[in-house]
Amino acid sequence: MRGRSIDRLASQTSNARATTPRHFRFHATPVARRPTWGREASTLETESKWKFCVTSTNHFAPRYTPVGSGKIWYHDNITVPGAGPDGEPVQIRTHSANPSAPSDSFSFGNYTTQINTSDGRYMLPDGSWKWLTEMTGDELSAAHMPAGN
Amino acid sequence: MAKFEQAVFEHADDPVRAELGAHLSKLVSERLHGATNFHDMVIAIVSELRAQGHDLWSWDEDDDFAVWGPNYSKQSGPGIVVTFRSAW
Repeated sequence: MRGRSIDRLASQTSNARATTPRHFRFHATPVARRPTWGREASTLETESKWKFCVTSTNHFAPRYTPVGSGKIWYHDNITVPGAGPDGEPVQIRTHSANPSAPSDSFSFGNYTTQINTSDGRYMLPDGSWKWLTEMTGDELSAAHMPAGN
Repeated sequence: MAKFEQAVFEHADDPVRAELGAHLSKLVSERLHGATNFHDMVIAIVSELRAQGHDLWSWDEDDDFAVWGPNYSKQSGPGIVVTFRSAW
């Protein structure tokens, strides 16, 4: 979040909390998952995720305003130099519940923190770094670390 | 968008799937280029892909990017992972 005053933030925070429904709250619970997205099927998983990256080249589009207007009503980022796996900067990003996440994921109903490099590698709780498309379902969940509820 | 149905991707061999992906990326990039609101356009495109049978959920997003892919909490079979990036 950029360029805001404390008063504005407090006002928007209050408004967003009043209007943003909490669908449910729960703690991340490891559950048995079928193997397609699991580690045991990592080869299949790699082959069955078809990754695309698309980029807008519209440099004049207005910036997305996350506070109070987006599906994720709050997020903030910190860039930490030298903290990446190869000494590159990382972003530590915390956001509120993501209503577009899978409905039974922790991220759907809770605040989470993600730590990632600019090339899209995410840190897992064990300190390893992976691209999202390399991760199992459990790892995708774990990459969204609890940051409140 | 009919040529981008989930079943088409699922039954395609790797070269054809790669070609489909490249074509889809090109079309989506063109639409993002003309968008006045990056995230609104992402939602519109995701809705259209869902209508084509793709299981897409938000994996992450920020001001300038959004990653959508299959449900990672429940198995939903093979699927596309789309990373949308704004070039602001």
